[in-house]
Amino acid sequence: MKNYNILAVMVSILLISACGIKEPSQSSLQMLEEEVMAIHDSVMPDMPKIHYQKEALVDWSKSEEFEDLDSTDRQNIASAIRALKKAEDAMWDWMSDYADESEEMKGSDDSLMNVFLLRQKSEIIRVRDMMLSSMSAADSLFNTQNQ
Amino acid sequence: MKYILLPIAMMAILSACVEEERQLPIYGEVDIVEGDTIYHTIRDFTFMDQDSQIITNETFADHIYIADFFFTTCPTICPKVKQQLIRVRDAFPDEGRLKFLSHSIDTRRDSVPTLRKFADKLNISSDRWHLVTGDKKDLYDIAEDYFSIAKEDPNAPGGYDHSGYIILVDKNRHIRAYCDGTDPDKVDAFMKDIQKLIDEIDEG
Repeated sequence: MKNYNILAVMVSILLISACGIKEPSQSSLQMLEEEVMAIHDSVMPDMPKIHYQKEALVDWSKSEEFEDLDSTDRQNIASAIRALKKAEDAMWDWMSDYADESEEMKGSDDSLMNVFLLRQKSEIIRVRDMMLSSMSAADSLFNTQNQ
Repeated sequence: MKYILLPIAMMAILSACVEEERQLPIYGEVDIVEGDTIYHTIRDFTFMDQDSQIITNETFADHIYIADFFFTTCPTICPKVKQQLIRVRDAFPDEGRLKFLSHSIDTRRDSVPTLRKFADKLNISSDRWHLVTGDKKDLYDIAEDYFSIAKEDPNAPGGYDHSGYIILVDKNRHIRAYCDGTDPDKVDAFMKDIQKLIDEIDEG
């Protein structure tokens, strides 16, 4: 019986080590980091666009033309301004947090680094989506303005 | 007689070509006003640098300067550009007529003390190199002004604040050269342009 117990423990250890999470390799970590940065770089050039869209909407909201709009249109403009600001702030916050946290992560083992980068990837995807949707909403409003 | 004139004419053409190559172009929109050519000129600006000094166009009077846009938490492009700009500074160590103007576009975080800390980290002295901050609108607007080159050059960058481009401005506030500041080969060529502009000053 005792031998069966020892055997069961050994088999369990073997199974866990065979099926358990593998240590990520350096190259896969590098690829993951590059992926995070590529997502960031894909939308970072749009930051001036967000700024100018926000400025144009604020100008619109202060114009006489705005007074003639119905309440739904006014609310849409106000929420578009808020969404642009939120998206812009989210990108600045992400970059600042990334700079601080990656400094703290220096010297961490590969599995921790992998978790960190995966979290950063999901965060920057969230920021990218906020930027794209807020710019798209603003574009739609400008289109209706020009009609 | 015509045999003497021929070599003289050829020499004149050759020297004109050399002159052409030596002179850097002036970038940006051009207006013709009453027969005079008006080149694009960098607008007036007022910012504050890492040592709390007020920086205006006057700071660069009688100087040529390199302008760029960055922010201290930038994870990708800006560190590469700063590395190349340091290389440029070090290639012209005693050239007092060459200055640097780096605009931070992160007005929330890049305060004067943060810029100072960043300058110290990179051994940047405000004698030659100003890291500036200011009103966000002013910074975006001045970036638009520098990157007016984009209107005529399809290869010029969009999203200028994260393009990594560096811009050479002469003492008359005209843009005379620009390049991708992340690319060491292009920065090598840019350094030759800087030298040409310095030569232009020397020649009066």
